[in-house]
Amino acid sequence: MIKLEHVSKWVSQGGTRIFLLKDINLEINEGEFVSVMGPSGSGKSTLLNVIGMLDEADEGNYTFLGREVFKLKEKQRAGLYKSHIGFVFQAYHLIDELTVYENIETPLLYQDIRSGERKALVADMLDKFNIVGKKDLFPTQLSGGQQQLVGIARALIASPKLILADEPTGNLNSRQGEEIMEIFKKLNEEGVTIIQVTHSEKNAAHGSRIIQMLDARIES
Amino acid sequence: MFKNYLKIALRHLWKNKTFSAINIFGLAIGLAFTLLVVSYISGELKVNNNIQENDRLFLIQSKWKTPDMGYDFATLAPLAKALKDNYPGLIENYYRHDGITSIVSKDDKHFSEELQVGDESFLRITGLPLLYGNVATALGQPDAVVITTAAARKYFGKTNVVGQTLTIQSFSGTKQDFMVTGVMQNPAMNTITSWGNGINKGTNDFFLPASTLRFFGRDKGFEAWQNAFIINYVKLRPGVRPEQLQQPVEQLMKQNVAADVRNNLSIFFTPVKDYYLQSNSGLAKRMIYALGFVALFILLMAIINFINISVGNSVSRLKEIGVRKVMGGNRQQLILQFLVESTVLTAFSMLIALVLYIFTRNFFSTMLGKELMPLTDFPGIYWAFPIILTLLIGTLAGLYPAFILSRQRSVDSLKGKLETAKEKIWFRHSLIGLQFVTAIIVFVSTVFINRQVNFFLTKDLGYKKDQVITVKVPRDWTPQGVQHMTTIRNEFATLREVASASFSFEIPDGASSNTNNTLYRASQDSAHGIIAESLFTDERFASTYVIPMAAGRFFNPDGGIQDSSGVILNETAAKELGWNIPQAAIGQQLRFQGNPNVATIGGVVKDFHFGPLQEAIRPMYFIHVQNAPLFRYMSFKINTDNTAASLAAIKKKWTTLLPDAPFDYKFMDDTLAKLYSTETQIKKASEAATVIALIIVLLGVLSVVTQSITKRTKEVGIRKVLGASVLQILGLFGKEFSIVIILSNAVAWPLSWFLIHRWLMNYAYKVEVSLVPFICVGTMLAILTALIILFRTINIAFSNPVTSLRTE
Repeated sequence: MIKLEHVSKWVSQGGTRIFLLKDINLEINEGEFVSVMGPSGSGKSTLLNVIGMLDEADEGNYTFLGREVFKLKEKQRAGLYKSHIGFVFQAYHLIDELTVYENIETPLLYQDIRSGERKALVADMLDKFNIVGKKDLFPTQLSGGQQQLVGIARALIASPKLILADEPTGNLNSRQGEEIMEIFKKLNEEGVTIIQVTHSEKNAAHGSRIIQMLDARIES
Repeated sequence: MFKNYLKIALRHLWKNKTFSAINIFGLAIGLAFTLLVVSYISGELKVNNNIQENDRLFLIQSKWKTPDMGYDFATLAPLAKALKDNYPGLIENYYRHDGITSIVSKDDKHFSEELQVGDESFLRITGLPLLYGNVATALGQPDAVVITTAAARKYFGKTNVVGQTLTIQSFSGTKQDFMVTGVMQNPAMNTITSWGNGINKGTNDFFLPASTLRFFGRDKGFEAWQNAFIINYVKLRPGVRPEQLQQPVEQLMKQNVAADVRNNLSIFFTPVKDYYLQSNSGLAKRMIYALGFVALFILLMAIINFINISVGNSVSRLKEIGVRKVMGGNRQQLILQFLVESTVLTAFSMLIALVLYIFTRNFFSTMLGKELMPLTDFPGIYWAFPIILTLLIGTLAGLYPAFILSRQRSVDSLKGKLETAKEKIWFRHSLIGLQFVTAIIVFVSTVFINRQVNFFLTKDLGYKKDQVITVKVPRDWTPQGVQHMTTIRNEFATLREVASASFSFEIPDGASSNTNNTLYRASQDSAHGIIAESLFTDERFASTYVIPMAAGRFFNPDGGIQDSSGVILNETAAKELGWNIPQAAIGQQLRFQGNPNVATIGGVVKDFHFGPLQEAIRPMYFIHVQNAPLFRYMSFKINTDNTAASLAAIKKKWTTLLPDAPFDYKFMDDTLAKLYSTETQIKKASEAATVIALIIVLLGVLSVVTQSITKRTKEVGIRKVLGASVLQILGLFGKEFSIVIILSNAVAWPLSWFLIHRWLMNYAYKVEVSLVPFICVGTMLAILTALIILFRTINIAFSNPVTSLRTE
């Protein structure tokens, strides 16, 4: 599903290159649950952003579902991730001015899905995560764990093939974190590919594969 | 999707209530002012629209080489008629009229009224409709009068008064009944029924046929080529250009007019359609431009504010933009969202502006002396203006967030990083600077306009206008009439409440009879003459108005029979005739051009301001009414402090002495104030503009300061932890603005100086342009700004740094 070949990314500082990613070669198949681990600044988030097409690399090839991502135009790329990738963030990144319902609905709005269908999809999602009672609340009225649930629901609403999660439990306590991991595991069993960045060995253990990063390289 | 945008826009507004209020209100004030000015301008442009075929109807205007030989809006009495008679191929019709002031009565109601007496083509040529009466015949019969509904209500209390009669007095004191043959709907502002300019302006409610001129003794003058004080209109046949009339006019002048007048006079034709804006040396046009520019700048300030605040707010939206991009929103969608948002905000402002318009319309109507249209009278097409304005401002204000912010990379946006932050601060500060510049210019100009108007109203005029009232008296311009009026005057003078009474043709309101004469020393010829204005007064005039003598005496102060050759000069006239010491002029002899008699100078009065202060004092001479039996006014100098009681006493006496004349008094102060009505209007308008400009600029400062505080909360926390004092923290925010204020003053001062200097050039007597108001205005703005900064920052400066650092 995902194939990275010799991918490098750097910034220039005072004439020398500082690598954020250095010669990354990685293949991830559909249905995997991958955890990316490593110390702060080792390039985990950058790797995730490159995979999620939010960021571009300076060198190398990236194939996603058989298409060469770096050669696509911005619009085609956006179309690609819009329909196949869902994002989950450490800081949830919900829109404060929208209710739970509306936050979940947002991706559908950008995919021109008709109102009736949107309603059905959002209702399903609310049901699935057991947050029907909270649909009219605003994010600030929810606990961190509940906000992250909404964040996941939003990521899943367009039924993506891939979920990218950047420290999804980083801001949560251990019990809430455990719940989120359970959900991820269940989703994976339903066939969704998941890549998560995490600091926690315990969370990483939920996955089927662990990638260790250090100083912009994949260690193992 | 659109609904979603709208929803989030509204929620954002609600979340930042203070900001939204400032933003919406600031823009609304600017918009309301703009709407009022646009309404004023459209009203001014519509003057004369109610006159039919106003592009074919031309006013014949005169340009005199020697100014003051005649009005520019009047011309040789028979000109229009002669053109029509001799060139029927060019002229379709004509209308001429005289302006007469007389006393109109109905039973015990007496009022002094302006009568418009002229050719019977009046109704047909103007197309002004009659509510009652027959347009074709209304002015066809002798002793007919057409009145407006306003006049009908005033005299009869109702409008359907065709067939009723009104009594009108002539100048020789006789009375005659006139039958109302038509009632005209009060016409909208036009220059045919409201003719003339400045103090000569008359708005007429009574229209009489030329055949009644005989009764007023003005019939000969109406057909005399020597009379240059008749207003003439010609209606050209379709396709005829006014230039084609030049040749005929010259031909007619050659046949009928004396060479000296002909050489002095050039005739030109102005379409009635354009006349209003050009009249009064383009006064209306200048007002339109002045107000238009002020409105434009105020609107600009308001828009700048609006954009400034929107931009400031949008930075806090960066995260949302990032999220939306990650969720799959593309740039176009984000741009559209921001444009919708700012347009919604603008629409709110526009709604409030319309409400403000409704509530301030009367106030501005009074201020500008023009009735502004109520909203409900706006024709459909006018609504396009606020709608287009809303879309335009909405788009402008939304552009920056829409294009700059949506361009940011989504990863950076999520982190709240804005690359162009530095540039933006500079940009926003220069916008604030531009607002300061505008506010300073408007403010400083207002100070000087105020000073100039106050100067007009308080300057020593060379005579005492306080406690002087003037009343129009019935005209009986015969030696007997003068005798009678002298007796009446003496009767009034016996009243304890009257210090002095005088009757005269002129009062010092700037409206002379315009009988300018060439004066020259009897020992020289007329080539050495000077042109002087005449004043026809009795011997008490100088004492009533307290005009001091420079030499000699003011006629024979004891009354009785006056020397028929006596003349009084003012100092300027004496000087121009070569007597630098007034005393030297006494007993010297003068001649008037075209008059074989020699006049003897009996006295020289010190210079006083007869005319408005826009003009320098001109040479003038006084002739006693006994020798020129013309009079219009009785002036009283009131004695006591109890004005009301004095007025009552005079009125009581008046009703016994002059039962048929209205006691319609005016204080000299008010009459003079009217002389400066244009200036007073400008003064009021500029005051309003200043208040609005100040509000907008201070709202702008408030919003920028608030945003700056929000952004620097963490910085302040760190600085406090590192040991910064409260004062140092306040200084941190003050510094940002001090540079802007200093630069704005540097730019605004020369600009305002230039504008004020140019405006004051219009006046012969003017205030000094000193530096003090500039400094005061600059300092005041600085203090106000400082107060706002202090008010907003004092909390954060005193707050515990721990809390501000924790929020991050």
